[in-house]
Amino acid sequence: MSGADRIAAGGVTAHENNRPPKIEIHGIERIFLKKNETNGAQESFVALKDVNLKVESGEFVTVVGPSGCGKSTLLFLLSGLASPSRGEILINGDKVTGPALNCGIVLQGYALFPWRSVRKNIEFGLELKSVPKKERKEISDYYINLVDLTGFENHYPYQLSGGMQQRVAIARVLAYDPDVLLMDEPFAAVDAQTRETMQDELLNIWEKTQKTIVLVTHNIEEAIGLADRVAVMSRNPGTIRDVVPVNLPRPRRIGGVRNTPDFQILSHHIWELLQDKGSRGGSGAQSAAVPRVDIGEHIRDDAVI
Amino acid sequence: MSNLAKSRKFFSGIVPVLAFFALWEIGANYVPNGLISRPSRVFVAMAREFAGGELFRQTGISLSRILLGFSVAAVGGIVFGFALGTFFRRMERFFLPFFQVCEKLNPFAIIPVFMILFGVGTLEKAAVVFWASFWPVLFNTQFAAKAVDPQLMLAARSMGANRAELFAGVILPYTMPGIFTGLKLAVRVAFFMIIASEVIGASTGLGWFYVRSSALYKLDLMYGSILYITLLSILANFIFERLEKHFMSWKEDAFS
Repeated sequence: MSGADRIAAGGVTAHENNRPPKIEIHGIERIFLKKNETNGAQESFVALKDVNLKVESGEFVTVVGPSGCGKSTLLFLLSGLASPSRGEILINGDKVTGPALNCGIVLQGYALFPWRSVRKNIEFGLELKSVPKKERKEISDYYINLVDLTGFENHYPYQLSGGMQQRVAIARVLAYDPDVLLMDEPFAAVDAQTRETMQDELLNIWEKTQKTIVLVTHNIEEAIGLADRVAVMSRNPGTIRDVVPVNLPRPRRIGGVRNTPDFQILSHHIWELLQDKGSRGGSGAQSAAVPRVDIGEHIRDDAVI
Repeated sequence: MSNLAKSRKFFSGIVPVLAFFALWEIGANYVPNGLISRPSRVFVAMAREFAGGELFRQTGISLSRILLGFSVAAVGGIVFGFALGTFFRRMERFFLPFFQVCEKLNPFAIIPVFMILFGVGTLEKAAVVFWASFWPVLFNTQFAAKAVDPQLMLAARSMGANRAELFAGVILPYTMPGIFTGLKLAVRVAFFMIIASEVIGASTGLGWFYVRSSALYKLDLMYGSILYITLLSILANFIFERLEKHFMSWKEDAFS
């Protein structure tokens, strides 16, 4: 039994009760039509194929994969900003048909409104929900404090550093209180030190708010450090290769777990999954010997092999 | 900017203007009689016209023509610009080339046409102003509306914004700087065109006042009119700059 499996075999406790999953992704396929540059003919490009995943309430799942594997597309489908070509996504048992307020997405590049101050950015979703002004202020005050931006309420985005802008983007989504938080490479644009601070802050926010989080990243360390489970994607066509449980202790700080043997083993395991271009189990005796039974049923349910 | 820096900037800006008037006043002594006037006489002559009420009357007439033509152009340009830049973008390739040809049409050449179509008078002058100031508003609005950051639209949509909310909450504020660029260009063009149209055929307005002064060989008033018209145009531009600053305080000020 390899080390990764030993850690994986611990199981996910959330799975053991009978609550319905927060998010269910069933057989998703997403095809883009694009024009061929040379002959102008319509071509279809399969961005996602046969994607299945279940995410429990309050769970933190990260999606890791090479660029072009469709991980951002998957997030867009979850948020309802795009719709799948085949298959369906259920959140709280309801089919996703368009953007809904139970699901908030933090987009790559923050996407803050440059003409709105920090406070007004955070209140945007509340304005759409017609929350009265006084209540809006109370809510934005709370989240400004939560993401540690007190004193910057009236600053405009261009006056803030990248890390601060990211915190505004997170607060803006949290402010209208969605159950599910989707994050598309949220820390890709900040420097290494800020990134680690932000990751710890995100864990802190997650622990406080009990949101279900799906976070997309291309950084293995980030994927493991944050997650309860890591969905590893491959490309051509984009699909989920495996879902790896992470049984590192909670509450967790990235710096505190990064150098543990368990972390390193997981990291190597995921790295191997990302490298392996063939089908799973085909790459040698070690993979074939993985005792699937020990890992638990949820893996077979969720992962597409 | 501190008050001291402000006043310093103001004074360093005013020096060349004062020097110009001083040179003009002195230089007028060395120019043959009857070619140019001198500032001291220009100011006195203009003050007399103001006191008599004549200049106020003509200013009012010209400004009302500008206001009529410009405001129709502004509203129309913004509405059409948004329509072509956002909701009816598919129409763009039909209309835009045609509009671009219209814009290239020399606006001075169109004055006689409008005289025939609308008759000589306020409507015709306003139409000339409209024609010339419509295009910059239209093109700048359309261009800015088209360029709205798709990430911002996604962010708003993900929070459940409907079409109207997307427009009011994202497209409109995003397009504001472009609209102001268009309006500022348009107001300049409007001042050019009102004078041109009043010079060519009119019995009222500042353009008419100006050509009449030259026809009657009142050099003081002729030069005075030029200065006065320029001053009005600067004032109009100033108003728009202030409005722009007021609405766009969030814009990054790269050089301050």
